[in-house]
Amino acid sequence: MAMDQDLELMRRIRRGDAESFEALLARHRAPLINFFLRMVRDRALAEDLAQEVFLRVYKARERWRPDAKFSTWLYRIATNLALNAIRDGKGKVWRTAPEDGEGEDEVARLPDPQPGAEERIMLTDRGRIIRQAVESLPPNQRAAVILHKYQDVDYRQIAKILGVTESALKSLLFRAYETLRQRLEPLVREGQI
Amino acid sequence: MSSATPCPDREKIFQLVHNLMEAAEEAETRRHVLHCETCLRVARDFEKCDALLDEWKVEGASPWFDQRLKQRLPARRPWAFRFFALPSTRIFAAALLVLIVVAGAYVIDELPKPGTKPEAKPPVAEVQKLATAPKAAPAPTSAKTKPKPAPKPLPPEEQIKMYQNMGVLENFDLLEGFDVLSELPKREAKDAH
Repeated sequence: MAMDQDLELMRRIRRGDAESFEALLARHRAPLINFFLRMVRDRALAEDLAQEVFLRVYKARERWRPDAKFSTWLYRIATNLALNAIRDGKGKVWRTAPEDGEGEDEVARLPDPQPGAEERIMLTDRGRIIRQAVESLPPNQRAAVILHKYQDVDYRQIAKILGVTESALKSLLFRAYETLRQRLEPLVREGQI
Repeated sequence: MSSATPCPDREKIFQLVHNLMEAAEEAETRRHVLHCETCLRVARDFEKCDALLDEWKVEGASPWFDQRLKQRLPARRPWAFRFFALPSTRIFAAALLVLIVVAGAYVIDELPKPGTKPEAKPPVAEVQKLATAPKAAPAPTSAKTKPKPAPKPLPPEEQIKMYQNMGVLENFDLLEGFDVLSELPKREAKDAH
């Protein structure tokens, strides 16, 4: 159903319907930005890359053929851009990201008399450990985990996006999750889940 | 191990937890894991790690994302521009241009050259005079060449002067009308025959 909606929107965009492009943007904007935020972390870069994806979709609307699922095509563009950015070292630009309470200093400076403040800081620390564990994965494994875990993309689609076989992708995911399990074991053992 | 079948490897248990298995294989593995404490513990570890990853939250797009994207989108061009940008239109235009060039070259080739004078028609009075005059032996003339009047023989004194003055040889108009055979004596002409 969702796939059909994307196909219909793309057909309309090809005919020059500007409203359909806005509808497509509304459907995929947040997931795509979240994907880039997890891949490259830097918010400005993530938004730039997400805009680049939409620009490429818009420019390719005349040439686009509904051979594959739209989201597969979209995430293939996105993954290639993210991997290129990481390879070029752009993903290493660590700017302050206000959405996830970056930096202990900022958190410590905030006087918060609310009872949940300590709990929030603890959650922020746990969030940072998890983020660092995922970010320490090799780029291909990171992309596979983010697409699988956070973008809810089917593994067959992920294989197409990354250009690997399904069995190779399963092995890739297994190695990535094994690494994550080992790195996050202290948190699991603490019984905080 | 409390199950009859041998324990699957960790990768198979991971695939089971993350729904990466084919249906037939999944049923068999699931049956084993549910009855094997060791495998169940491995499966639980993967589930806990997966649940821990849910704690990594990111926020979506900034409020000005759409506005910035719209500024980067290429403006929609008028229909005439899009029509002439079509490949079929370009091919047709190129073919038309070639046709125009070929036709133009043909027409230019057929036009009279600027140096050449159009064939002058004899005046009516001249034509009438010729018609009433006694007919001489008609000389075969082509349509384009004008009949030239026979050169008048020069008086002997003039002929001597002419030969003395070799510059006359540069008078091409005179040389053009010079008939070699008419200058020869009749006997010599007969011998020549």
